[in-house]
Amino acid sequence: MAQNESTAELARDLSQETNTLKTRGLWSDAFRRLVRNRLSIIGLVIFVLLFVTAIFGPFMAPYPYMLQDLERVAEGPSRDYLLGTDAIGRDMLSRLLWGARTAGIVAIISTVFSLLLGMILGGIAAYIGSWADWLISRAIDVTMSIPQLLFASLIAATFRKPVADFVDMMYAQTGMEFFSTPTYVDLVVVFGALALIQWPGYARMIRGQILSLREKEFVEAARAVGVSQFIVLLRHLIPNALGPLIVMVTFGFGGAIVAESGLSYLGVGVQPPQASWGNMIFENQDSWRYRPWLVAMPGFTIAIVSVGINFLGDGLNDALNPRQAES
Amino acid sequence: MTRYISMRVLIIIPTLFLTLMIVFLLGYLGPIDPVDIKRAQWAQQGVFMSEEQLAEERRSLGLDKPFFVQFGAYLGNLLQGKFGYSYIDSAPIWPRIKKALPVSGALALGAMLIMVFIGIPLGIIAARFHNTRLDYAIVGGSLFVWSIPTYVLVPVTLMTFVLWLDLMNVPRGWKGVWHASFVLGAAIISLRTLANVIRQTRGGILEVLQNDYVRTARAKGLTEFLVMARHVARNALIPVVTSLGLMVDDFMWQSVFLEVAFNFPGLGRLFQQGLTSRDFDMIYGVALFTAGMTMLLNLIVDLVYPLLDPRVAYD
Amino acid sequence: MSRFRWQFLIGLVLVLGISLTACVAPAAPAGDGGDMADSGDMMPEVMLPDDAAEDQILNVVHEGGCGSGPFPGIDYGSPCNFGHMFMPPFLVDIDGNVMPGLFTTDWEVNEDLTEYIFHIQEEAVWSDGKSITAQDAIDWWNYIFHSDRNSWPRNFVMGAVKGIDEFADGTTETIAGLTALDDKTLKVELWRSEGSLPQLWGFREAAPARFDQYADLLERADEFADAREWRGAMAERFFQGENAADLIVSGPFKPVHLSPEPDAIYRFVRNPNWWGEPTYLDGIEATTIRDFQTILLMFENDEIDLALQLAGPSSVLLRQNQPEAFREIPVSAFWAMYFLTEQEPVDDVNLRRALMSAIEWEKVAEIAWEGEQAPSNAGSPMSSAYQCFDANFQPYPFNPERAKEFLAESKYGPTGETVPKIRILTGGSDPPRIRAAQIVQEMWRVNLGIENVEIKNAESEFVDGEGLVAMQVTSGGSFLPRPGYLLEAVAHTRGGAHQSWTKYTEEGWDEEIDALLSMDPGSADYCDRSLAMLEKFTDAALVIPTGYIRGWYQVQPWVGGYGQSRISFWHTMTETYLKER
Repeated sequence: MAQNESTAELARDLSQETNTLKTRGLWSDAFRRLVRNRLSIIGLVIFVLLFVTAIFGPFMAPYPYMLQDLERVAEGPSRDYLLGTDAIGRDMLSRLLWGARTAGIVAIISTVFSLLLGMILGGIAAYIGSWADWLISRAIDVTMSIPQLLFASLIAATFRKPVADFVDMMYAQTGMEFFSTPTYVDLVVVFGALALIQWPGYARMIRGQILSLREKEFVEAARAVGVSQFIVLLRHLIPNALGPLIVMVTFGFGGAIVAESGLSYLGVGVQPPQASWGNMIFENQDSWRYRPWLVAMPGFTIAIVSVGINFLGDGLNDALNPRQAES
Repeated sequence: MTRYISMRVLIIIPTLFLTLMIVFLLGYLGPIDPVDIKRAQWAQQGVFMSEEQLAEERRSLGLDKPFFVQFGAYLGNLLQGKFGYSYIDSAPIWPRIKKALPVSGALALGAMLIMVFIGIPLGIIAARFHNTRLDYAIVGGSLFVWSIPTYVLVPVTLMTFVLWLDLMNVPRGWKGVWHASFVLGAAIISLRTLANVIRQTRGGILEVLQNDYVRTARAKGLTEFLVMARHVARNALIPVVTSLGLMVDDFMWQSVFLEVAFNFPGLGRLFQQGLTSRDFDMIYGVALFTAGMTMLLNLIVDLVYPLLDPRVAYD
Repeated sequence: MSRFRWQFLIGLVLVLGISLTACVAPAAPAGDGGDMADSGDMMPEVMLPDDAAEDQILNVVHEGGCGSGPFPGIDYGSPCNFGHMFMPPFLVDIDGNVMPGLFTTDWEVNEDLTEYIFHIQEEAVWSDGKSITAQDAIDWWNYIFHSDRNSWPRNFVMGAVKGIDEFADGTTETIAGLTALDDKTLKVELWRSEGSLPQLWGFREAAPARFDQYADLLERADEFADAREWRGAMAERFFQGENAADLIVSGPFKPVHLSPEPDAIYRFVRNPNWWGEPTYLDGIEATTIRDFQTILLMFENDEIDLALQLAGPSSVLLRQNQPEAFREIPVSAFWAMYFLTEQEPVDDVNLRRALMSAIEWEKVAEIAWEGEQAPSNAGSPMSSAYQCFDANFQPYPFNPERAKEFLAESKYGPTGETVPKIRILTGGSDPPRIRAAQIVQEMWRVNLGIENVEIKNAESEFVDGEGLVAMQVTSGGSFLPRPGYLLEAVAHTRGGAHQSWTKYTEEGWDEEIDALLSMDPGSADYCDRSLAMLEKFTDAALVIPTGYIRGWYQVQPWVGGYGQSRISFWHTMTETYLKER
C-alpha cells in the first residue's frame, strides 16, 4: 500500500537520508530475516543450483544435447543414460542440463530487458508527468489488456525474421563468429516477447514509487532549498524501491521460466534441437500416456525451480519489507 | 468522482483501438496466414495446392491487400456491429462469441468463488501459523500446483476422473454450472491462481497485524476473532481485490487448455482454434473481448478500492 | 478463547473444501442424444440385422471443424461429411472401383477420352421431393465454382472441362463444357483427355447442391467484397443451429442442427425422401474435439462409436489395446522432404543421391511416427495405395558405402566436412515431422559426416531468410492413386494451377506425363510406362519420402456394416448399423 504514510515510515526515510551506516544495518537485518526463514533457504539453494547448473551444466553433461542414439530410443534409466533417452534417442540428463542454461539465460535476459524498459518508461512517466505520463500509462494499459498468450506468441512469430535478418547483417558486416550461429535468434525472440509482456509491471511500480516519493516532505524541502529534484528523487528512489524491485525480479525469473515453457508448448518458443525444458515437454507430450517419464522429468524440473524461486521471492519479500517482518 | 469515472470509461475506447491495432499488425506481419493452414489441412488428406492456387485463394479472401485497407475494412465492419466471418469454416464470428461469453464468464466466476472460499481461508491460516510447518505446507503446496503447466494438469485430471476413478464421462459440450465437469474445470482454473491469492492474503494479514490500530484494538481488549473480523480481514482483502484484474489474463491462459480438453464452448476454445488455424477475425474478436473485460475489471477494481480502503480517494 | 476461534475457522474451511469435493465426486455420466428429432413414423419399415441394437444413432467425433453445409472445399473431410448430406456423382470403394452415386455407372465416353455422357439416377430426388436433374447439377457448379465464390476444388473437379480457364478468370458466366441433354443426361466436353473423370467426380466436392436456395444472394452481389463474405453469407443461411433443417439435400441423411464451434453440434436424421436403399441408422450425432488425448479417452471409455482420425504417436496406446478398432484409409500421399534444386548445395545431383542413400528408411518411420505411418519403399514416392505399385522398385536402399561414393563424385565432396550448410524447413511444429528431419540429420552426420545442417519451423526463421532453404518438409502425393497424377504433382512444369513443387524438369518429361494422364489407366503398358517415368524421376533424386501417410478411422467393435472409400474420406454409412453391445 503505497498510499500508506505512517509517521514511522517517514521517520525511516529521514533516518536513511542522514545515516548511511544505519542503511548497512538494514541490509544485514534483512539478510538475517531471510536466513531465519527455512523456506527461503530452500529457495535460495535451488536458485543458486539453477545458476550453477546453467553455467557448468553443459560441461558436466555426459553427451551433447543433440546427439541421437537411434539404437536406443525412448529407454528408461540405464547405466549409459542415467535418466533414459527421449523419442529420438537423446540423453535426457544432458538435455535437462543444457535446458538449465536455456532457462537461466531466458530468465536473466528477459528480466533485465523488461526491468530496463519498465524502469526507463516508468521513470519518464513519473518524472515528466502530464502528456508523457498519460501516454505511458495508456501503453501500460494496452499491453496489460492484450491476452499475454496471444501477444507473446504473435510477437515471437512476427519478429523472428527481422531479428534473424539483423543478425545476418551483423555477420556480413563484422564477420564476428558470434553472429554466425542462428541459435541466438530464437533466444532473442523469446526474450523480446517475454520482456514486452513483463515490462508494464515494473513500469507501474517505479512510477508509483516516484509519485509517492514526490509527495514526501523532504523532497519538497529539498526543492525549496534549491537542490535538483532529480538528484533527490534518485537518491531516495534507490533505497526505497530496491526491496520491492528485488522481490518483483525474483518472481519475474520464475514467471519467465514458466512462460517460456508455455511459448514452447505453442511451438513459438526455443526451437529444437536446442534443449529447453518447455520444448522437451512439447516434443514428448503426445506419448505421455505410455512414456510419462519423458514429460514428467522436465515438468518436475520446472516445478521445482519455480517453487524454489517463489520461496526465495516470498522470503525476500518478508525480509526486505520491515513493516511485516517481526511476527 | 463522476468525472473520474467518465474519464476512465472514455479512455477504454482509444485503448481498445490501440490494442486491436497492435494485434492486427502482428497478425498481418506474421509469417503464417489461414491459407497456409488450409493448404496443410488439405495436403494431409492427399489434396495438394500449388503456389498459384494459394495466391489466388489469398486474393479472393482479401489477404493480399495492404495493412491499412484490411484494418480499415475490419474497423468499418466493426462499427456496423459485424465481427466478420471465419476464414476457415465461413461461419460468422459474433454468434460464436455471444455463445462463448457466458460459458467463460461462468467458469471465471466459479473459479473466483473457489479461490475466495478456499484461497482466503488458507491464506489466513498460513499467516496465523507464520513460519511453521503448516505455513510451509500451504504456501509450498499451492506454489507447486501453480508451477505445473495447465496443459499437463488438465489431461492428467481428466484421465484420473474418467478412466481410473471412473466417476464421470468426458464432458461433451456445455452442461450448465451444476454439472460435475464445470466444478472440476473451475477447480483446475482456480488451482493455478490459488497460490497468488494465498500469498496475497497471507502477506496482507501479516502486514495489517503490525499496524498500530490492530495493536490498539487488541489493547482495548477486543477478542481475537473480532480483531480479525473487523480490522484485519477487510484490509487483507485489498490486495486480493487488486489482483482480480490481473487474473483475467491468467484465466485466459488456463481456459485455452482447459476448454479444449473439456469441450467447453468458451472463449478459450475459440481462441485456441483461431490461433492454431490463424483464423484472423476469430483472433481479433476474442482479443477485443478479453481486452475489454480486462479493462472493465480493472476499472471496477479501482472503483471498489476506496470502499475497502478509506485512505484512497479519487479527486 | 482465541485458540478456539481459530479451530472454528479451520473447521469451516475443511467443511467448505469437503463439500466442494463432494460436488465433483458424484458425477453423473453425460448422456445425450435423446433429444434427436424422431422422424421414424414417416419412414418405411427398415429391416434391421438380427444383432442390431435398439438405439441406432451413431456417435462420431472428429478432430477438425465442420464446414458450412454444402460449400465445397470448406468442409473437406469434416464431421459434416459423416452426414452423407450430398451425394457425389460417383462413389469409389476401398479397391478403387467406381460405384454408382448420384449418377449411374453406365456412362459413355468417346475414343480419345474427351467427351463423356453421364446419366443421373432416375429415382434421384432432393429432400423436398423434386427430381434431381442435369440442369440442377450444372446450375450448382456454375454457381459454386464461379470466381466470386472461388471454391478451390474447381481445379481438380472441373480442371479438364472445356472452358474452365475462361470461367475461372471471370470471362464467362458458365462452364462451356457442361450441357444438359435432357433432365437426366449430362454431356461433358473436355479440353484434354482424361481417363479418370468418374474417379474425380467421386470426390465429395463434386456433389451438387441446390442452387435455388442461394440464388437470391446473387441479387445482393454488390454487398460482398470478396469470396469470404460470399461464403459467410452462405454459411449464415444454414449453419446457425436449427436453420440447418431447411437445407435441401440429396443424400440419405439430412441435418437438423449444425452449429459451428465452439458448440460443434452436428445432428443428422434420415432424409425422408431418400431415393436409395433405406439406411439402418436413424441418425448421426457428430462433434468436433480439438484434442487428440480427449478423443482417445472418449474412445477408450466407450463413449463414441467412431473417431476420425487418431493418427500418429497419440494413438499408439489405443492400437496396443484395441488393434481391431483401426481401419486404414488408403491415402495416396507421403511425408516428403523436397530438394529445392536451385539452391546450394542440393543443386548437385550426386549429393542428393548420397543424401538419399544414407537414410535408413524403416527407422525413420519407426522412430518419428512410432510405427503409425508406413516406411518409404527406399525413397520411392509411390506408396502401396497406388495402382501399379511395385515393391521391387527401390531406388535408394540404405547403403552407406554407395552414399559415400555418390558424395565423392559430387562437386561438394569428397567428405561431409566440405558440404555447405543444408537448411531444412519443417513448415510447422508438428513433433513427428520435426523428429523425422532430426533423425535424417543424424543419419547424414553418422553415415556421411555432414555436420552442417540446420532445421527450422518457418522460412522466416532462417538467418538468411527466404530463398536459401535447401529442403522443405511437407506432404506430397496426388488426389487419385494413379501414377500419372503422382507424376503430375511432383514433376510436371505445366505452370498455372498445375505447377509442381520440385520445379525441376528434363527433356521430354512433361510430354510423357501428359501422355500418361491421357492414357486409359486400364491399358496394358500403362504401368510399365509409369514406372519407367518414375525411375527417371527418382534418378534425379528430387524428393525424400520419409514415410507414407496412413489415415485411420477408429471403429468400435459394435459398429457393423461399416466401410471406407479409397478417396474423398467417404464412408459407406448406408449399410452401417449399431450392434447390441
